[in-house]
Amino acid sequence: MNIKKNEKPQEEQLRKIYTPLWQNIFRGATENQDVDILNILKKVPIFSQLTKKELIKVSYIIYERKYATGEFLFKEGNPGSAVFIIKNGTVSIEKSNKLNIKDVYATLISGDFTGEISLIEDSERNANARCTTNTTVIIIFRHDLFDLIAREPLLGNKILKDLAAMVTKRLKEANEELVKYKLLAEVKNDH
Amino acid sequence: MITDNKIKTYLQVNFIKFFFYIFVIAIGLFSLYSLVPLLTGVITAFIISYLINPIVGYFERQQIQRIWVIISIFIAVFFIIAGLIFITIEFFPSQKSMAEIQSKTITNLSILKDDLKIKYPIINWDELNDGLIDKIKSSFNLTDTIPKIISNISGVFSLLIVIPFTVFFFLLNEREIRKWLLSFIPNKYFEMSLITLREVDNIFGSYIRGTLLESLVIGILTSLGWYVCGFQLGTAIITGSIAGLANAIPYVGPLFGAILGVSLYVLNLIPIDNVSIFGLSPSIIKILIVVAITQVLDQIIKPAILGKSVNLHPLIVILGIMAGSNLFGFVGMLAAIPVIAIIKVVISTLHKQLKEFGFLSETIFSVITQNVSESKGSHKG
Repeated sequence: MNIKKNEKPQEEQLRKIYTPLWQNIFRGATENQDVDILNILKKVPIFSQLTKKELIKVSYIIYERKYATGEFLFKEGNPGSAVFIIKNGTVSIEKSNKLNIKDVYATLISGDFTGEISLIEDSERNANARCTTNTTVIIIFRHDLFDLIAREPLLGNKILKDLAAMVTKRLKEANEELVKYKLLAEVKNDH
Repeated sequence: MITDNKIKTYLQVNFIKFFFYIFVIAIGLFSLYSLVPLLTGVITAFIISYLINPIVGYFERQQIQRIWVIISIFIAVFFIIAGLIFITIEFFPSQKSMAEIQSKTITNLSILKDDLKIKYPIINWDELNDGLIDKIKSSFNLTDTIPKIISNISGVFSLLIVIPFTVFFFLLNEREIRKWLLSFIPNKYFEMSLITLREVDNIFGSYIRGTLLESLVIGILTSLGWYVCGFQLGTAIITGSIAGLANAIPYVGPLFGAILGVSLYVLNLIPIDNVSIFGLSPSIIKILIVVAITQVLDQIIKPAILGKSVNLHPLIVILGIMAGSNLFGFVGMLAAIPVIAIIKVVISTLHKQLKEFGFLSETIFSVITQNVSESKGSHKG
């Protein structure tokens, strides 16, 4: 393992464990700028099963907004109620630790999305999302999406199925990481 | 030289900006000014579409396209209004009997006056009676009233065109209008605005639908009651609907219903009897009993329908109704409580959300320090 000497080894390990987890989930797009909204939506895992007609129905409920560099999509502790899909630009998911140093968990690019937890439950944001360039995002409000799901059961089924699949996938990955972490801890204890 | 040029271009750019904004503001003000006469129509249309929107949403969930739902609702409303007009014409006396009604009304009034004179001699009933008779005579005088009605028609006509058209497009493009309005909100407050709007929609929507349902129930009950009292069916339905509508005004509405019933009795539209109990004819007592029963039932129905979505203090309700009637007459009375309710809901929800998003705990100092630390952070990165 390559551990830099000036960094605390534990923190580095934690970061190694967490970073790929975040990256895997949010990744899912090519670096093609200036693609239209339907293509962007199609890349989002929860919309991947939808037909073009259904994607158009989804596109009716989206809000497209421009954010300047340094603006926050959301801040830690805010009530979350919307999912953000990056159309173009970059957004960093970060959290300030006790020493007020920012830990960057993931960098999102075009086609990535964040805030999907708020689709499932009424919870607080657990990190900051800060735009590192001028960014255009597509925002979907939870209640709008659930209204759509209620209106269009077939479309809704597909979305909910993918949402469940996404959560399951993440749970599996988290379990695997947990096992790894436990092993690491055991090895450490043996020494 | 370079700096001079820079200043020049800076000034030019700002002049262009300045004139652009002036231009936009001037056009905005002018269009607002030209729309002032239609403002009541547009506001009414907004309220109506707000009421109908959940119904459209319901049918949309049943896989019917929005446009067809709206068109069907329009057709249904058209037939309901046509039916009401038909009933009104059926029950409304023809010109021939107008004079008859006038004379009968006057005799009824004088009978009532004599009764009251004996029971409560402290009040000068004669003067009141004469004043009322003058009013009745002038209102029955068709040569005077018809021109007045016609001069009012142009205003009514423009509203008749403005309201349906505006309602139609408000309903059809509800999402686009909402998006357009939300596009003016700064990024920082966007998500909060979405949540706030949704909550206000929920609370106010349930309040309005509850009130409408309540009005419907009271309207039906009152119509039935007055039919039992001896009104003709048409009269009972129309006056019952009016009483139901008036019932949306708390405290004053029930009184209005009672007054309507009594005045119809005086207008001789229900059978008259010369017996009197406590100085009042049994018919009037029947009407009062019907009003009382519907009100008692209303007090039982209301909590079940409305819940505690919008709780307003009685003092606020009374003052609001009076202010509304001062400003816009009967419509003002009817609209006062929903308007006060929406103001209350918006303010309380906004306050709650501002608190949850931490905007209220932000002081100028904390904003400045935050910005400084952020800019430092970005320099490091």
